[in-house]
Formats: sequence, C-alpha cells, structure tokens
Amino acid sequence: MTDLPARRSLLRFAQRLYDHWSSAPLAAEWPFPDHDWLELRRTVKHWQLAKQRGWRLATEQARSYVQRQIDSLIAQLTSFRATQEPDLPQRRTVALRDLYDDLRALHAEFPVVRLDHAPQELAVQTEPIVLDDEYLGPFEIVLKLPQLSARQPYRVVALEPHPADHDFTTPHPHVRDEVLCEGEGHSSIRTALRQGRLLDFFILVRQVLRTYNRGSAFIALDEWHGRSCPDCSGGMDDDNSTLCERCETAICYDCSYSCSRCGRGCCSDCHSWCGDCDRAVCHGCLESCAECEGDFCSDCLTDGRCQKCTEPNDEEYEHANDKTIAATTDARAPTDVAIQPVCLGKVALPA
Amino acid sequence: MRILVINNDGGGFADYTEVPDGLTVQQLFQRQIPGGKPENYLIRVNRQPVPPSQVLQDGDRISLSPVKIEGA
Repeated sequence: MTDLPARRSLLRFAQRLYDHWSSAPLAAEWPFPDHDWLELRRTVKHWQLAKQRGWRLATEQARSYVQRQIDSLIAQLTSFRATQEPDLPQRRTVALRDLYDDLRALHAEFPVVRLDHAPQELAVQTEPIVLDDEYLGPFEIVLKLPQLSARQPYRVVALEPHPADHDFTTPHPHVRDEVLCEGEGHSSIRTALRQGRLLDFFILVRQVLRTYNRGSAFIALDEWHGRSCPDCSGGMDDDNSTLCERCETAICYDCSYSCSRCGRGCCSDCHSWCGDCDRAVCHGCLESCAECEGDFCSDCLTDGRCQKCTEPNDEEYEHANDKTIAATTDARAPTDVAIQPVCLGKVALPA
Repeated sequence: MRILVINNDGGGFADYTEVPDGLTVQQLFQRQIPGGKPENYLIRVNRQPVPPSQVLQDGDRISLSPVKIEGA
C-alpha cells in the first residue's frame, strides 16, 4: 500500500484524468478491427504453407499465433457489437468523483502508484509475479493518458526483468515488447477503459499478469530457460543447438544426423536410415527400391533395386536349381536311351 | 433499492439494478454468476474488499472480477 498523496494533489490529477476522458472518442466511434482481420488471414496463409512443407516448428508457432489472433478478434468484435446497441450501459459519463475515488483506491490496492503530470501517465506497480514457480519480478502498468483512444493505451514494463533466456523482449509469457496479449481480458479491459473505471482497469491487467495460459503463451514457461529439443525434449540453448538444414527446426546437436550422401544435418523428421547399410540419409537423398519400395541410399541400390531384391530368394533359387538338374538330365537322355534295357534289364545285342 | 453492478467476467459491463433490501454480497454473487465460486472472484463493494455476509446498501457499487484471466 502506497502513502496517499495530499487530497489537493489527488484532486488535481483526477481533474486531469477527467479532461482526458472527456476528450477521448465515444465507444461507438471505436474502429472496426480491419487490421486484425487482415493480419489473421495472412497468418492463416503462413500456417497452411508451413503445414504443406512439413515445417513442424513453424506450423506450431503459426497455429498458436492464429489462435491468439482469433481470440483477440472475437473479443474485439464482441466489444464492437456492444458499441452498436441502442442502449449502451457502458456509455456512463465519467464522473470526476469516480476518478478521484479510483485514484484513492489504487493506493490501497497496489504497492506503488505513480502520478506523472509531465509525461501524463498514471502507473501502478504490481507485487512480484511468480508463475509456476518461475519468478518474473514486479511489473509496472503504465496508462498513457494522451493515448486513451489508442488500441492499447498502456504498456507493461518489467521492473526487474527475468526474460526468457533466448528472447529478452519477453519478460512474461503474455508480454512482449511491453505489450500485453490480453486474451480473455480484452473486452473487460476495453470496457473499463471506455468507462473510465481506473481501478477495474488496473486490477484486470494485473490479474492477466498473474495468470498463466500455456496454450497461448509467447514462450511457455517450461521453455523459459532455453528451448527444448523437439526430438528428445531435452533442454537446449544457442550453444548446444543447431538448425535442421532441411526444415530449419532448432534441435540439439545430439539429435542432428548428418546425411551420409550430402552431409546436411537433419532432424528426425527429415532423415531415415538406409535399409541396407543402416546409415543416416536425408529425405532428399533417400531413394526407394523399385521392387520392394523400401528406403535406401543410392550406394545400396543396383539398377534401382536393393541388394535383397537383386539376389534371388530361396524359392527362386530352388526353382532355378530344379530347372538346372532337369536340363542336365535331358541332355544325357539320348545316350542313355540307346543303352537302356528293352525290358527287365536285358539288352538286345546284335548277333 | 438500486445498486451498480460491474461484472468484469467476459464483457465487463456495468449497469444499475434493483435488488431487494437485505441482500448480501454472497446472494448477489449467486444471482449474477450462477454456479460460480466466490473464491474465484475479487469482489469489491465501493472499491473495498468485503466479507460475503455483508449486507448491501442502496447506491452501493459492486464489482466482480475473475481471479484468473488467461492472456493470449
């Protein structure tokens, strides 16, 4: 809890807030989310392309981004629809008294409240945020008063940044570049801002910061300290990881196999083992046996057939052997017939 | 009596509503969010945290905010 400033100072700041809110556009003038719709269409195209090309990591990232964009768009459309209704309860006129009471209440709710006249900002500091045992430190939620009509007129600043190891712009799973991805909170945060409900606005943003949604996080907390290899699930960082040279997925060195033909390092999705010599071969160099359709390296194929399909099998061998024996017997037959007994082993001899 | 209810769950709409005299915070919560659990919400009356048994007064301002709000 912060020390409450003098009543006169609070009133003066409340008056400034009132002026800003009074001059901000009404809810009904808020724009239709055209930009976000176009952005969603673009991302869906990227997603489909990544799926077609079998880029696993890119597919997963695009899928997650599409999901976030859809959630955001639904929330924006819900808010937009609300602004079109004839009876708008959220069009409550902002009262100076409410702003003043909210300012007072903020001092009881948050450890630090900052009222800046010069950059015209109202900021509160959260207590340190800990999600899934990951200490992320305290955050400052800064409301930029001259930008009340902007899409997101506030920023979220990490005061003791503990960002993800491989992305310093992400100090919280749902904050990147000081922008909060509001998700479920989008509509209620917008409405609170429209109605000048300062206390509710700051509480809602804080509650989003206190909640972890793994499915839509910029970076999941279990990947906070280095990424996990998609093949072995082990942790990895820039020093012990590499990119698959076919699909560009980041994998750890242990899971990168060098193609015995072209030498490219590949992930498990992009290479197989030769069915004969058992060496790693990337899918670009892998060939199929024309007979059994098994996967082999080109060294192990002869005229497009693997060694096994080139050699005759046992049945064929026996069959071929029988034919050889029969042919030998037939070749001897005329001589044998000449000395064969006519009957009972007796041979007719000339007198 | 007439009170202002701000439901920050979902749309976050605020509206005045008529309620019977003697209604407690818990009873109001059950009317506003059927099936909801009070411990999953920050309930404020006139911007102050209150016990569920508190009886509401004419002109009170009640806000209900979910404890967990999933970001995207």
